[in-house]
Amino acid sequence: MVNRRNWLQTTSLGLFLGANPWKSMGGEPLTKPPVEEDYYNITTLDPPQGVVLEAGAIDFPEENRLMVSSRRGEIWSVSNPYAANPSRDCKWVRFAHGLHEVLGLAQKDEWTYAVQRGELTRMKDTNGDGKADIFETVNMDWEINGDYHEYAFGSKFDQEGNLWIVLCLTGSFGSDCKYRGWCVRVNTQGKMIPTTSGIRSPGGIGFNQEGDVFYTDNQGPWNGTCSLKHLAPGSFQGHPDGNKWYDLAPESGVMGKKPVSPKSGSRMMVEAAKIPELVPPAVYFPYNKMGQSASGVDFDRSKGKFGPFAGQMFVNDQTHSTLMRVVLEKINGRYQGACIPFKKGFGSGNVPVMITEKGSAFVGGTNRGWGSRGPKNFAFERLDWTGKVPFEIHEIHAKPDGFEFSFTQPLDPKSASDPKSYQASTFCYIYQASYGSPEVDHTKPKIISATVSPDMKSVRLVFDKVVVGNIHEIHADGVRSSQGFSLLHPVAWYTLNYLPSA
Amino acid sequence: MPQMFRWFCVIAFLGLFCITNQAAGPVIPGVAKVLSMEEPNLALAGRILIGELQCLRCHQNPGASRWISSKEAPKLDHASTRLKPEWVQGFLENPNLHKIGTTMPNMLDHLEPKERKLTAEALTHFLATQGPPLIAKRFSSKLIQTGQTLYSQVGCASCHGPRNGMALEQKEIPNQIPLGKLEGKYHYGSLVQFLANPHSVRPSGRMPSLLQGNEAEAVASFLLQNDTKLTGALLFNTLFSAYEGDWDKLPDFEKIKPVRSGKSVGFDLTVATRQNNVAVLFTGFWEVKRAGIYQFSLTSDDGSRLKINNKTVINNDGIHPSTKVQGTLDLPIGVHKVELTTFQGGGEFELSAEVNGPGLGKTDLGNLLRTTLTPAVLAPVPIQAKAPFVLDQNKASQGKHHFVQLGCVNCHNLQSFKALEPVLPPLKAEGGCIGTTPTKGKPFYPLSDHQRKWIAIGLDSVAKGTPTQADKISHTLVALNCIGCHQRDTMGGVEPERSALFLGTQPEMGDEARIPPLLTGIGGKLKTPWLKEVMEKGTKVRPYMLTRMPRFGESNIGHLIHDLPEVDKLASVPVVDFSESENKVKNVAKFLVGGKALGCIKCHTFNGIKAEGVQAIDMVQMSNRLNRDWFITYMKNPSVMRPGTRMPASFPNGKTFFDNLLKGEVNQQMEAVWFYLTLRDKAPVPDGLIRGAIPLVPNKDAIIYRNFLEGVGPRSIGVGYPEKVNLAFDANLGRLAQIWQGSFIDASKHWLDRGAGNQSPLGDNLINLANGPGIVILHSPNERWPTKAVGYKFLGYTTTPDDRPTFRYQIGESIINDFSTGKPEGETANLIRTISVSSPSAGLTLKIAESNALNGGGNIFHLGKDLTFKIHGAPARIRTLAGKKELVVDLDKSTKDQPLKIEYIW
Repeated sequence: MVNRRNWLQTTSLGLFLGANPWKSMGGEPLTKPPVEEDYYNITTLDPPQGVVLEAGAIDFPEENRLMVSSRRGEIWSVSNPYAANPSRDCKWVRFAHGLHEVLGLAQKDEWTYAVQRGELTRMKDTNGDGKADIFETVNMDWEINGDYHEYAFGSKFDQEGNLWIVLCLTGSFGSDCKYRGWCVRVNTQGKMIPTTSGIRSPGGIGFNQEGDVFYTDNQGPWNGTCSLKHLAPGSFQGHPDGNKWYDLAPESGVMGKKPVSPKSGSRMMVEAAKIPELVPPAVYFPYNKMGQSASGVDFDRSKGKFGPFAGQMFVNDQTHSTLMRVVLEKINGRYQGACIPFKKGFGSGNVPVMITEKGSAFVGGTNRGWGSRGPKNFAFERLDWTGKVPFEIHEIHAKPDGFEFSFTQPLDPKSASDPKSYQASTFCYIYQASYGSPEVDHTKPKIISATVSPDMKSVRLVFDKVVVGNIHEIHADGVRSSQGFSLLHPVAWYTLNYLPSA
Repeated sequence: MPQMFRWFCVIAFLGLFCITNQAAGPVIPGVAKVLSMEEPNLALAGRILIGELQCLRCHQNPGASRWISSKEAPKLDHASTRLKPEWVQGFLENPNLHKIGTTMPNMLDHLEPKERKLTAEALTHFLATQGPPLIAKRFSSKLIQTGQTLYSQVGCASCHGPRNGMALEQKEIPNQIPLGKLEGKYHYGSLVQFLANPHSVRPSGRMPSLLQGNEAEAVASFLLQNDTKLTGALLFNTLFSAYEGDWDKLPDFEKIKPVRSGKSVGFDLTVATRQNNVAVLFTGFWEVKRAGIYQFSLTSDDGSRLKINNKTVINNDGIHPSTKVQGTLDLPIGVHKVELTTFQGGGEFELSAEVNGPGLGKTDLGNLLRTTLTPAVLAPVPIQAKAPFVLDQNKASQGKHHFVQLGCVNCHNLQSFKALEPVLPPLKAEGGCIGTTPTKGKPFYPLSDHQRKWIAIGLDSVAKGTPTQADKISHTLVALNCIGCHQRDTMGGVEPERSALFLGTQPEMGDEARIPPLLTGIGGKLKTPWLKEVMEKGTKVRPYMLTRMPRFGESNIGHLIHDLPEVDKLASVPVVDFSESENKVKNVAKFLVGGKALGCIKCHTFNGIKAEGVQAIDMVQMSNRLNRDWFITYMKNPSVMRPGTRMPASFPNGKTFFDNLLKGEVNQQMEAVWFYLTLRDKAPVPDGLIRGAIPLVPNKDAIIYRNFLEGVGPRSIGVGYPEKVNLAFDANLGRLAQIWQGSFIDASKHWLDRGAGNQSPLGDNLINLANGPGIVILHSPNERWPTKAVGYKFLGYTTTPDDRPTFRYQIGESIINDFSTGKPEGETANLIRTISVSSPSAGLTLKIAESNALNGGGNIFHLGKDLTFKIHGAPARIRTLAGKKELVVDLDKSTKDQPLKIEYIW
């Protein structure tokens, strides 16, 4: 199981145990209910005057220098990105220009790799003027046909040296040329390995702490709402239009036979039971409630420097301009878990996110063509932890008859053990060929009991009935910390694809 | 109940219902929709049945008419002109056999078969006297495709189901209204008339009016495309001769012999009886009543010629696709001889001639002709059929007797008859005409037990009380099957099986772009005048939605315009006083709807100016349509009022992101947006909407631009050089595709919205050089230039410190380095391209240009007057293959250690 470290381990760095987190910096007791800004601050990194930086991807070639690519085809190198006063202390140098909508950046062996719409390119500055002067095409074995929606999002390198690329469908609706709607890997020899089918319209791709690859897909045909999906090699991710390319996928041993087509109007888990290749989304982001356009994906690699969520995954939402938190576990050999609101109020429509070892999340935003709550046309921002630990749901684990919640702060046993402090409802989406889906199959489970663990850090909820295949929306509005505070984000949506045996 | 299970139940239930229908009963789609509700309103279903079966035309049920508006049966005036008599007779003998699901009862079921036949025959002859006879017209095969598109897009298929090869998995849809064999019932002319104005025959709007202009002709042609046999009578007004042979231009008709000659209707090409290697000569006489200049247009595929009085007016000869040629002729009063000739090689076969002139609108010339010089009365000639229908006046008068006796007049309007007042005792839900077996002397409605039960429940509800406005609304929405396309509260909507029939032009907008809008709360949403506008005229604000709102007729839906606003009235939102002047409020709103605030312009067009992403409803139309109370309530949380909408909440949790505007008060900000919208097209253009060009101007360094370039391909690389010369390289094929001078590229197409489409160069003197791969290995001198880049691999490029790229690519074993730069020449500049090849394979050849304007030799070649090539370092030549010239360089014969150098001078 992933992320299954217990609360003490997570907090063993003692980052907040030394000080009472519920005191303001001046030591006065807080009078107002806590808000997100008490724990995480956004700092804007503005590019040089006149530069339109619609960020597509972020990477760090060095510890104190990042690279950020743009939809307009530039790559900028930014030195000193952790500066407290970025406008004064960051140095921006244009590393490359003229590329085709770069939505993936990675580094290996002194080369910068960029995923352009039509190819994977690597580049290097050989004369030391700060600008790349060699642009080598590593692979262009997927096709594009001139449709703007044929996006290609790229990952960093995996442990074996592969770079993963998810290829959006043509017009986000069909697969008009080779490998649209697929995930491919490019290996160390520059060879393309078709890796999964079933992609619709990705918004980002990234790893979890274990090194498994995930991408976000967006509401549309065969996607009732946006979701985070695990790119298990050989799998079918749910949208069948790209399956016409199975015949081309070489005998790499990765892709098997073309899977049976799903039945439109069914449910994901009904079809997953029939189609062995179909990997259900690990986490759904309920439409409107959580977000409307899931995008960039990363995990907290800071080992506690980014707050109490080390190892957990974070996902951007472009429309809502938010960064969402995802907790996962593995049941039946498949990832599943919950999404929890984390931070709102970014400047533009969030697309890429990278969380660094030094404990900052860099978020790039653009709302060109797709509106966002964040009003700026583009923004490049850094999210830093203030060092104070918010009272939050920490992890959620499914149980045969309910859930186990752990928290970032000790609980008030009275409120936390009262079933009335919680409210649960469930629903799912139609798995269908037409666009999106309403929420359907609603149930309203009763919470029979809530038992607080002896260490006061987790609660075991027993439901009268859990519904496999449904999203469980659980509100914990009544729960208080031992210091009397309510949860900063008292809601989570758990995607219950499979039920654990114990 | 989980929705899936619910659907399963509905389908199972409907299955039973449908089976009953197949065997007998009427199909009333609205009823089936009511029954598919989670809690079916059986009383409503029963009342609808009573209304649609028109029970109250004969039965007196006190109070029932307050609840139930009865359907009106088709008017029978001019039945003779509309309906084929053979069909009328068959239908009368067994209505449900000829039109599955009809609400017409079986009037003759109680008769012995022989008597039944005689009665039906008499009625048929009677109806044949109700108007002039039908004149046969042939459908237009040209219009079939248009008709199919219309049928499948505007809404016909939503009710009647997919048809004739429409690309859909399912042929049967739930609640489908069967059309029966239309070619048996209608002929082309009468179906066109019916489709153009269905209410003139069926006044109660169950078949709404949906088509405009000449669309009825197209849809009728599509529906009747299998009607290969004309029945009725023809008005022959031209003479034809048909010839067979293989020509590539019009033959000399005096020298060839026709295979067939005879009378024809206008320029009807079916007389050719074949689609290829045929020619036809049509002749006729045209009486011109006003002297003057007449304009003719002749459209044909392949060639044609129009002669008047032996003089050629239009020559449209030769093998070609459908081509229109025009001509004029000054004509005096009198009779003129018209000769139209055409020939056909293969493929499409088409001919039409139109005339426009004094006293004429644009008219089909074929309709104006006659076969003789002197006027003769044209008499319809019955088409030879096995047993042509010949009107028998005796039978007709018997039929008239039956018509009255059987009570046809109670339901069917026929001018010479007066409908009778209902005289029968109150309707009961059993026995009589809805019994399980026919009763002598009574019509027979073959109902299922379910249907009888619903009628009972319906009658019960009618007896108990008076209908509310909501009851009346429901009745109309079900009877007219509005709920076939729209959902209102829990009733109706598009089932998953029918969903694919609803089409839109913007798939990225999701279902909102193709599924007709919710009617839940519609009376509160729309202003009453707009509600009236939409209902009566079908006015459309969603250009992306292909399904149209049909017109149901004012008398049928009029009460909705009154009742819906009252029933759906929303709680009024208190008026907000602004803390700023109106002018400032206007500016705040202009900012709020703009690109840096709520971003409404990302998805909504503004006064026709396109949005960045999807093109949702135009903002200047909103206040014309919407009620303020609805709009403000909607803004607070759109997905509450339109579940599943992609419209985001602009003020999530009632909070604004703009604390500095209008005191940071959400109510003021929403009111400001509404105020702004009420200004309609007088509203100032939202911030960020008018977007300028983004010219990329190379100054010191070159500029590279990889994107979709027009005429180049999806993997284009544009390069703008500071010398003001530019090129576009196609990385898919390794070819220099275009060169041009002056300005480089305007990036706004790709950089200001989602980036759809190909960008053309910004500058001047664009030269398109060559298609296909740039360098290939030719295995023989006359090998055609391949279209695919075999053995080609794009390797990328290196750049100079001032960003000039050297493209690197591989053909087989050969590595190509391809570098270009500008060379200033007066005001403009030329281009110098240097290509070096490592280990060139035998046959390695570069194509520089292709055009039949190429000429020259040695090392200087010309592309007409546009461009000169100077080539050094390898032998160049023009080769001609299949009549096309190509300028090629033999790279395998290049001078040792010397790169190939090409100067493009223009």
